[in-house]
Amino acid sequence: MAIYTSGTQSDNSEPVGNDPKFYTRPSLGLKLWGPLVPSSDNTTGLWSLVAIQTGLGLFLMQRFRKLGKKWVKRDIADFPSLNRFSTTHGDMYMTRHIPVQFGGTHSFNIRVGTRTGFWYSERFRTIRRVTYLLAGTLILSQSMLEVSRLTLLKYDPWVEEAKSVREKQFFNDIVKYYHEGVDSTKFKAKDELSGQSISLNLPEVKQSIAVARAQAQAENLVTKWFGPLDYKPQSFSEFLDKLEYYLNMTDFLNNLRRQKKNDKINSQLVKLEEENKRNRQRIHTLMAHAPARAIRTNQEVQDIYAIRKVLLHHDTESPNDIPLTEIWAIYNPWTNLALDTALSIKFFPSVIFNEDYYEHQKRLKDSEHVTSIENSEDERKP
Amino acid sequence: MLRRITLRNAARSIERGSLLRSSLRLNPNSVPVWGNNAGFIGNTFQRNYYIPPSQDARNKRYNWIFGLGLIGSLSFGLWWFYYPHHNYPRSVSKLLRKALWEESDKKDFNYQGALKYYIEALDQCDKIEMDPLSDEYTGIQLKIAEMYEHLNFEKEANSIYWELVHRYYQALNTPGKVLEDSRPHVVQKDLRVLIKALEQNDDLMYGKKVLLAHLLLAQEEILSRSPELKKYFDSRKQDVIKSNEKNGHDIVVIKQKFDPDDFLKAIKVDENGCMILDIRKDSSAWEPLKEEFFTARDLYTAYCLSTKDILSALGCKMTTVQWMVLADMAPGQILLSQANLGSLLYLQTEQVEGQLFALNQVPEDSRDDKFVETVEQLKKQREVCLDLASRSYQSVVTFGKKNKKLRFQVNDLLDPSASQAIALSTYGMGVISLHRGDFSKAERLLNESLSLAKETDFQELVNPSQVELEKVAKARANPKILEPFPVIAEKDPVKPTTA
Repeated sequence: MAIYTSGTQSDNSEPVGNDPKFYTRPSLGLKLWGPLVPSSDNTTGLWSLVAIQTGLGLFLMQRFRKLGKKWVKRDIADFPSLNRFSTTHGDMYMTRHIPVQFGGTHSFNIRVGTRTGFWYSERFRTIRRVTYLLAGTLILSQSMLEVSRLTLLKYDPWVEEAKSVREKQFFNDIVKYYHEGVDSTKFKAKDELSGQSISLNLPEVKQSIAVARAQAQAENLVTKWFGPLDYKPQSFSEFLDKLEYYLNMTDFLNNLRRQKKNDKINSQLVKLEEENKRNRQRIHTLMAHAPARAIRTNQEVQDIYAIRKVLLHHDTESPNDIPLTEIWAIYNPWTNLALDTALSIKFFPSVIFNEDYYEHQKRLKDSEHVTSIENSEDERKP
Repeated sequence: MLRRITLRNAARSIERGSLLRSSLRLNPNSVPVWGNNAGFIGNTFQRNYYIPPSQDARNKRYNWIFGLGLIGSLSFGLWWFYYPHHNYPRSVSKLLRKALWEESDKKDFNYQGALKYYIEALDQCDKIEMDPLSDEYTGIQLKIAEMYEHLNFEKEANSIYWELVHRYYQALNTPGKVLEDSRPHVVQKDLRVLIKALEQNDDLMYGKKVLLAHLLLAQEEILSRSPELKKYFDSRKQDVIKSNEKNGHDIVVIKQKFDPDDFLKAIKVDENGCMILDIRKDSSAWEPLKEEFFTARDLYTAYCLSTKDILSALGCKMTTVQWMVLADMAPGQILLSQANLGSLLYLQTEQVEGQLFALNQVPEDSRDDKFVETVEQLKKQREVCLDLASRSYQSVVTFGKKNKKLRFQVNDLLDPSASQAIALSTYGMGVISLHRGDFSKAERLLNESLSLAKETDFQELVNPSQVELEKVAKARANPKILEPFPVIAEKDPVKPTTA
């Protein structure tokens, strides 16, 4: 891989490209997991790790509590000296006893507590307790840190970075797979309508295959968990710098916004809202009362929007069968609008002869010859 | 190998099974204690005393139920959060289903019926006081607008778009109305609707004003996340201060700072010559609104041109190219922007020439020192602009020549804008050559651009190329018509060389 420079094609002074090193994904409180930490935009992964970690912390704390109990609950039946003539069940509270050498009721009961040696001594128990307490506190506080990052931050530079990297990788994958082409001995493309196989070298076919492959790559479990493998997340200090910058900047901007007067826009908005409401009522009565299909449809618009005509699955038999979530996602009005507004604007200059100068100045006013606004699908002259 | 393993496994399992059986056979008396109840029954025959049911067992059962409930609620929560589902209340979703049914092929695209239900759905949303800024609410509004367009209510549709534009603008300018973390999204929606609303706009000045206001809003949004952009603004402020000190003209300062070759260096190319995005560059501040943002900026440039404000258009475009590099836009887009920048620089050249031409009309005796100075300034500007224009074009063409993928697979590209940019730049260089009077070069370049345009299906360029080619023929016959300034031209360094 190379950075494009004007003279030399490849510049090896900088280690770019397929750097085999894997960088651990950043986190505030999941350091314990090492390289397993998921990409910052993988909320599911982050939350699951937090949950497991918190569980572990709680378990350690419980161990700590159990070990430190002054009173122990025991079943009376466990003490042969208390069950000479019958077996009685029931709870009995007793102190954590220090092993007694001889005598007393406990001496009959050869149990765990009575073993001696360092591993069973009071001191070791204290050490264990302290260890449990420290580990538990550490783990729980780490969980707390991560939870607060996940819930409190309105803007998380790591998340934003991970998201944008994922999208870039998707783009790069499409480009890569597109140029790589498809092995025609392994794959075959068929036309859905005629059933005939199509050449794999058609740009359209190549493109859709590339997109599908890139999508598969993005859905891959490893990529889903870690994001693109070969990127280096920003460091903690960069994270803090960005966060601080963001907080200062939003504060500053919000103060500016508070001083702004919005009266004009408000009145305009109210006017438009009322007008649209009236339009809605008027058109609704028209729609409800006009005979079916009495209103002429606009052929031009129909042609432009031809690709987004709603097509339902053939076994849908009534409105109630429509899987709204799915259909609304396919024909999402916002996505359609995004396609509509993907303009590509180009300017074409043209030479002017001196005899045209007067005319040119006039033409500049209209500027017909300069702009041509072209839509991604259709061509429109402004 | 595989077979051996399976055989061994089978043998092992048989062994295990027989062991289990034999162990069962060996202990016929032992009653497996499944629960305490069984133990209780079994024991009553041997011992004649009462054993109360263990507290532990009951606790365990409760724990079990409790655990089940916990897992159930947890999985429900996970489903709720992660399974995609629509956010419409039942009363609205019912109407939407009906509307979609009418709109679909099942009812042969009955937009009339669909519109009725969409309007009812929106009224229902109003009734249950749904947040009018939410994507659900605005989504229905967009649907209504689309139906309006289908049924020839263009004006009403446009009015809906404007309502959305103003609503977003107002909300974004009222702190606290839009959640901080969803601001970029709302800005993105705002720009999208604005571009759509401006499609039907006739009032140039109004459009320009609104565009500028909304662009500033988007810019603020990016600025709040991008320290790089702040740096850019700071350095530009310095430049302005400097240029004020020097009392020089903008364009000269721009020339010092502006190097067209610089931008294209930022485009990353992988080992196969494909243009890719740089993963290492942090451009997250521009997400997710960068596409809309740059389209809106281009639209603003077009508005500036339409209102004869070439200098603003030029400044806007220069900034756009620089920012596109910062934002790590798709390489094809950057190339196209660069080519467009060349066009704008050329237009500026022509405008300056127009001014010179007008000055030329001033009678000889009323020309004072100031006049001479102005003429000098303008001529300098003209040179700078023409030079920059040709360098901008040249950089795109050179880039295309160096990149083997672009050079040999013109038509085989995912993104047509890269090859379009090259065709446009070739055309632009042809125009400049013609302007300079280099006819053979102009002819060659224009022919090249014509064939490129045909090859890449870039229909809009075909006509201009042909027109310019005709002009070349015309100018060849009569080179005089190219000389713009009969009087001042004597001192002009860029005089036609071939005639």
